[in-house]
Amino acid sequence: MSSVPNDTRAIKDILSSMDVQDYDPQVVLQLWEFVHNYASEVLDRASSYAKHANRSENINEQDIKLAIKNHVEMNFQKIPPNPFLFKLAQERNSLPLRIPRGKYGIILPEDDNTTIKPNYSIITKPPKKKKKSKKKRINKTQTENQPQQQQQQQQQNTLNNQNEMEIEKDN
Amino acid sequence: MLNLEKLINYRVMKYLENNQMYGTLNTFENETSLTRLTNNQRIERYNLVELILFDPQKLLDPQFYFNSYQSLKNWINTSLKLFQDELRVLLYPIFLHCYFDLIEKQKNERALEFFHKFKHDHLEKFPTELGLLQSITTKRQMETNNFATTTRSKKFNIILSSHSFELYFTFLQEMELDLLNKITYKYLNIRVISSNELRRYKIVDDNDETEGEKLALMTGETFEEIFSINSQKIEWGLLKNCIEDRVNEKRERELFEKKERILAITRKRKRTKAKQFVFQEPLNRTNSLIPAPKLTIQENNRRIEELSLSIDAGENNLPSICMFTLFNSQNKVNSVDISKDSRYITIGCSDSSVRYWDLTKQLEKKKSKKTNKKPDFSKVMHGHQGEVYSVKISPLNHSFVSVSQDGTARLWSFETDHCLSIYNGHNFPIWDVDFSPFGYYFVTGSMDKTAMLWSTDSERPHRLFVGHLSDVDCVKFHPNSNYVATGSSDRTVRLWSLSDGKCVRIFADMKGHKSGITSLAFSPDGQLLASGDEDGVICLWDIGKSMRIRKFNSHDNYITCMDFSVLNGNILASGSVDNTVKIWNVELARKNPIDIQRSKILKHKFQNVLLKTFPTKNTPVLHLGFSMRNILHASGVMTSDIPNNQEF
Repeated sequence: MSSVPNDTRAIKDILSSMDVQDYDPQVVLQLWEFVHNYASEVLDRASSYAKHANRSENINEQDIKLAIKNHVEMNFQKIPPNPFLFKLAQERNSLPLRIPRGKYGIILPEDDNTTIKPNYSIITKPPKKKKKSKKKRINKTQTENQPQQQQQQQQQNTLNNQNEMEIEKDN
Repeated sequence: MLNLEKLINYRVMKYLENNQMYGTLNTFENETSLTRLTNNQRIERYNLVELILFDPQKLLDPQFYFNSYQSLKNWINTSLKLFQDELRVLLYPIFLHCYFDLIEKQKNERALEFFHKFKHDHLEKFPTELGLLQSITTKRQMETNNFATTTRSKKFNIILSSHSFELYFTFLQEMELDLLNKITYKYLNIRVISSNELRRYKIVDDNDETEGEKLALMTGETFEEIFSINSQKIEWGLLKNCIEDRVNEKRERELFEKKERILAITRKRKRTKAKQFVFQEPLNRTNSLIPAPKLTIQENNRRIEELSLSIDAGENNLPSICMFTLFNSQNKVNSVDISKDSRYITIGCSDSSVRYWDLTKQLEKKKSKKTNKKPDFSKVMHGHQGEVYSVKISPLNHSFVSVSQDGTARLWSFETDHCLSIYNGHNFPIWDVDFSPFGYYFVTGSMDKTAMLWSTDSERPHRLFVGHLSDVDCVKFHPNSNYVATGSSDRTVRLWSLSDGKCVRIFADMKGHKSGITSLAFSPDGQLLASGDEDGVICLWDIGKSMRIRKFNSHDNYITCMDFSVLNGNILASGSVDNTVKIWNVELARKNPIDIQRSKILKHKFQNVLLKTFPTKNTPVLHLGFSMRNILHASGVMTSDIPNNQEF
């Protein structure tokens, strides 16, 4: 009977007081871990407050209240109460509805707020200067490839220009 | 005169005695030469203000709470049946506030005793509320708990006939149950109506044996406020030049031309002039109150064409149902949506992914060699950080929106197969989303008791619909896109205007829904609103007159989805977790919004409003929707009876 540790018995009691009859045995362990984490965090912060107040780690009720208020309560967000929501609603509902940003198709927000904005930019090398010596080195067998190479170089140049333009846009 | 003075003096002495100001009391006695009254001598009480001022000692005794509640309960159970039903409604609010009072006075153990002694009276009608109450055990918890603060700040709205009202208050006076008097005054909003008016409230419920069953309801507004909200005029008609009008015009023109052709033969002889065809647009057509992009001409024409090809559904012509069953997805799929042109099926899953099928694409793909069967085209998309609770395809068929537990809504594209935009606004899980019938706008309903209006190009919500006392479980756009209906766990349905965000209707009926609303549907002409709840009860409301006209009570379990048939809305289909789809005759319901007297006379001629029940094989129905051609799409997840722990 007493093989069940006190902590698990306490958690089982809590569960039964909340009228929860059906649960996985894992749940008790998870709840225990959660309680442990919560309590230790609160006590940690409370002790640091006590230290700050030169009370040398004798934790006060005030310290614990402060610790809960400042740190732990933020993790458990409460649903805002209705009066507060009413005020928000009044503010927002008084603005007239905007005219749509487009006429047809899928109308999306400005680029910054969508996931389709390009999240990359292209780094390019500066365009290579055409050296006359290089051309002389080209063998006669490669003369056939010359026009192709020239075309490729031209394409690269135009691409570089385009990329430069894109970078400018991003900036 | 003398008597009045004496009375005043006695009251002053009593007040001093209660507040233990014995010094002043002695001097007062000496100066007025009166003696203190002993407990046996009583003064008549004239008004309630005195009662609250002179809070006698015995009110602090928790035993008094037990005794008062018990005597009230006994009295109600022994009163005439005629009044019993109405008075029983009072029992729950009084129980609730007695419990809270005891906790406020920090008598925690007695409060717990009180709770456990009397909870069985209310266990079957208010199980969730009792569960919440159990978790509130100290004064501090009362101050921070949402449920406690709302119930202590808002009043319950209760309707009583004049007889029962008189009975109740005379009982309280005779038995001197000042405590209950105080609670009634502070926390209950009792409206007394004459018995004639009360008869109007007694709308007979189909298949409902417990006719007199009423539950106390809290909406946050007083009766007068509700009445003023509900008497506002709203334009519930469809928009001018809507496709329904065009289709009806087309059909009427065809009929007219047919008749003309037949009459043309006789006309030649009589030499009378041919009549011109004039289409009578129904009078309640309205303008759109919100700026929105219009449909393209092609889209408009496409819709008109599809709609004109639809087959009218009715009593004699039940719709065909096309059911899509999802396998191997038990406890994984939360929501399904099928587009109106039957092209896309999208599902939202509990592992935060979204998946869609394109039913036309599978025809183009090559057959696989092994099975000689064409593979389905489907695409899974990830992005959400929590379970996806609802998906909705845009009526323009190019994208769909999904909402999830992480409080965001995401827009996904069919063409590029990825997420286009994220809408952040709610800090709590969003339960439901609905698109406007013309695309562009959509509304989300969340756990934070609000619904928000977004457009696909908005970074922040345009409108905040605040008013519900509990989380908003379902949202639905009106066919004219000017209004939105929201249903909540507080058992009420509200109608909001998009132009100014104000609540224009509150559908809260003590005999209406007895549990949270889970599904909504508008009739295609915009006049009726159907709402389904967790117990399987469907209420049909007339929006213009803001009253409930019928109650359909056949499902056993949670109603997940409902839809009206296209164009004339004569059929309402409802799907539920009890593995059935039921077809209801709305035409009949419209003709007979019945009251108690008529039904008694016509009971033998009473046709059943339930036309047909279609049971599925162990498949709770997740989605129902009439396509443009009036074929009912249904979808569900095949569930097995094996409980979770034993699944392989």
